[in-house]
Amino acid sequence: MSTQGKSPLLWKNYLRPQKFLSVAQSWAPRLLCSGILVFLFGIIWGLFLAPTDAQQGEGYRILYLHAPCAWLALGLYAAMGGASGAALIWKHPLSYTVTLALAPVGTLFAALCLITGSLWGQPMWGTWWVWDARLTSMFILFMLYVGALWLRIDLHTYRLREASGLFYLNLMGLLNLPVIKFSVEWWTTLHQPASLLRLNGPAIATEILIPLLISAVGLMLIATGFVLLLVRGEIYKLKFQNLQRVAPFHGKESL
Amino acid sequence: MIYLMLSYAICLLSLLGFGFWAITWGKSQEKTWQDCTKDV
Repeated sequence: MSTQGKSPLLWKNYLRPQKFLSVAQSWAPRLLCSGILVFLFGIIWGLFLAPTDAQQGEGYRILYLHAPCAWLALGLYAAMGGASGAALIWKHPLSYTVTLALAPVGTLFAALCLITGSLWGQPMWGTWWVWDARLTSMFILFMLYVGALWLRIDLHTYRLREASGLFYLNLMGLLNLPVIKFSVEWWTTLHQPASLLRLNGPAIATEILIPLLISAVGLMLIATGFVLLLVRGEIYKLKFQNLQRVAPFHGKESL
Repeated sequence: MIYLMLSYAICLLSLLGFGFWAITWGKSQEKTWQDCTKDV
């Protein structure tokens, strides 16, 4: 009877913070090391071996940073929205910690996307910034991340009723993701239209596309490693705060 | 070319800095927890 009960619920063991802690501890360094190697391989290929673009010259090589950072900023926000939904529905401790861990990592990649985009825009468009639909919606995503970073303070002090504001904000922010994706089709923008995820197939030459995908995979592994590192820290923080609530006068109340 | 170099420098330094912060912050949380359990 015990084996029948264990087998289908095995995956649920990994949702226990204590179990997830050991998984994060062993997988974070592996993901970070492999991610660094793959990312370096991708950008070295992109910088030195990929052909020069006929229109943009060497300047297009910012693509190997800009596009993966943008994809990660969107993907991490989708994950944060999912974790926030899970936190509201199931109130699972792991969903709290994952939501908290995703916010700084997503902010980093959204900021890098905006900075590299700006550095690409200046030589190509002649301006650092325009308020077109793609850039504005991406800026809104960055501000949503900043809002999530600000509101996570409530969750850190475990005022969960106040913290539900963070989860609702993250869920509402999900509406911005399709706007970012389709902004270049719905409105006339200075930003170029989609060149990879298109119905007609990618509009990028294979020699440029392959290192782009490699650097994207590398950055994805690095981002996952960062998230696991932060989830681990958040679980320890949660355990510490739970202990403080149980024994508030054990001589460490100043912490 | 300067913009290209600048973007790569900013990205790589940001990733390094963030990684360093994530590792040290995680370790400090673990240490706080361990110190706390020792006292209890």
